[in-house]
Amino acid sequence: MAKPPAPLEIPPPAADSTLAQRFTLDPFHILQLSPSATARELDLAGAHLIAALERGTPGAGRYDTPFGPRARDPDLVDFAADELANHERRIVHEIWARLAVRTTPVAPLAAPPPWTGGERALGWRRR
Amino acid sequence: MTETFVVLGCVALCLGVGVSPLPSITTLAPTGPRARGIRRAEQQFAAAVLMLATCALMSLWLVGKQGEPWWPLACLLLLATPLVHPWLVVKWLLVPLGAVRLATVVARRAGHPWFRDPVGGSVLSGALASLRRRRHDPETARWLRARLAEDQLGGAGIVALGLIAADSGDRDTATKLLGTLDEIEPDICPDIARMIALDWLVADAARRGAWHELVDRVSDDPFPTPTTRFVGMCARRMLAEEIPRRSLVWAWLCAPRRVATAGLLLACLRAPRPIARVLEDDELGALPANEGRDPVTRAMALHAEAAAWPVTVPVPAPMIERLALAWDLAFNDFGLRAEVRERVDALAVKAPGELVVARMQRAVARDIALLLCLAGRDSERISASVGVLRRARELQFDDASAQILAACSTLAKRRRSDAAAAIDVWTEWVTLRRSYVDAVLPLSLSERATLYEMFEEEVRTTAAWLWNARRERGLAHAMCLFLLAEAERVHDRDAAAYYRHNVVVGL
Repeated sequence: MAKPPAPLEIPPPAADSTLAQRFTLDPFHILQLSPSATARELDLAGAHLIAALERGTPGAGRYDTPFGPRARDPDLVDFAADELANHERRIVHEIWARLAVRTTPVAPLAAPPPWTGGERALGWRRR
Repeated sequence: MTETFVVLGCVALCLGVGVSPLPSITTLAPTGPRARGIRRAEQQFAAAVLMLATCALMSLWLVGKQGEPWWPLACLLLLATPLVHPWLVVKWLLVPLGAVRLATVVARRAGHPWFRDPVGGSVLSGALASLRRRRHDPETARWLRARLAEDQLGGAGIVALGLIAADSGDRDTATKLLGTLDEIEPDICPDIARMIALDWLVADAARRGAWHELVDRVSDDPFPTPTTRFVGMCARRMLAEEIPRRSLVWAWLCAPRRVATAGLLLACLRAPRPIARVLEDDELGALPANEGRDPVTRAMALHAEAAAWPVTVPVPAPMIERLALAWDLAFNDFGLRAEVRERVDALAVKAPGELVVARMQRAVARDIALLLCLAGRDSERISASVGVLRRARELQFDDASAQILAACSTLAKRRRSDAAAAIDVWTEWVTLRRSYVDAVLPLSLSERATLYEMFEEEVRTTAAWLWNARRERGLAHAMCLFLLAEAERVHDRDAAAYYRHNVVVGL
């Protein structure tokens, strides 16, 4: 019987490039709220997510972004809540949050793979 | 008879050297680096002739009565050759064994191939041996750097500095140092040092998967080694260029380390054939950026596309132009402005809606400025300078100015410190040089001229300090050469004349 495929590791948004973080660190995506959410909904969502992360609730450790799923932690939730507490920044985030999220991992654009063993193969290092 | 012919040949060589004309002092300064290099080469040549004649005479004396067999001469030559040409021992024995100090000491006596920079060559031999060790030893690295202070710094010394930095894990400094050999005068830079530098840069670029950078480096080099030729062809094939398999296999056969590099060859042979592009870059840039959809969503979709671009591949200029055009349409959209004003009122934000849009525009411009940096040389193709693209260029110019001023300040501080060593000042200079070269790529000529004015005075002072206070004429000459090229590029005639004079004075 074939073994089930290993679950894909969800990358943290900190691993994304600066440009990609504009989408993967959007507070509305982190809190999984729509841009029209009220202040009360924001507070409730933040508290609920932190409690879920402390309990280890399945699914609480990930959220969907336009670049696919990303890993979520309590610090990220706090960051998102702080960002949305500032109304001027919230308006900007509302605009950026328009781009639809993707629930499945997004494969990076195909780039030629690096030659990881190149230095050793060319005799530049032994370690 | 063999020995007799060898002795006669040595005598003929000596006579030939004796009657050959000497170079004129009008074209060759007797105390200059070229003359010193020629003297070192002549000394080693004389030692080789003397060794050959001595071996032949000893062979005659020892076994001459037994019919002059050839093998005693061969044995004597085998023993004596490493004494006259110790580089063979360093290259084939001491470097592979990782014997850093012994390799440095023996290479100091080596002569060929380090005539033009003997001290730098010996330290470079030590650095090569250090790279072969299983662990980095900071004490050995300090010892190697201290050896460099024994004489003026030449091309081999700079390569040694770069490899010592690479050995300690500081790849960024290593890349900067090894990439500055173009301005080093050939009289103080042995060819083998240039080859070693290019080999390391190529291996590093391949390790990172920066195949575009690798192709640029190899194509700029007029005399690639078999290794760089093979890896360069692999890089071009990786980038979907039409490289025949036969040529690739032949380059692999001509290069050393065939077993170790077979994996790269197979990966390149398996690489898919180039895909015919549906849209060329120019056609892509000419496409309308709105496509009839919501302009903000369209701009953000293009923004996401650019953000997902692999970091090892330069961002195409048409993609940036198209993104900037889409954002211009989005920011000029009355719908967006009205929507922001409405939200500002609803959330009772003090700042007016126009200011919120302006701040968002600034954030987008900063992202586009970052993309311009990632585009590298391709960014020179972007001629448009309106709307958000213009704002991006302004931001990039501000950042570049701040960066260059900070680097100039660091260079000045380093120079003014009491125990300022030439190698430390040179390391700061290559950092400043790299910042400048990266910063000016996407700038217009007038902006480039402004940046040049900002950093020229500090670099000129540093070059003068190296020349007068440290007698590092080679380094000062290299800096003047860089300043001359830049002065000509920004059409600064006075500065160009000044640096042309300095460069013509030579070393």
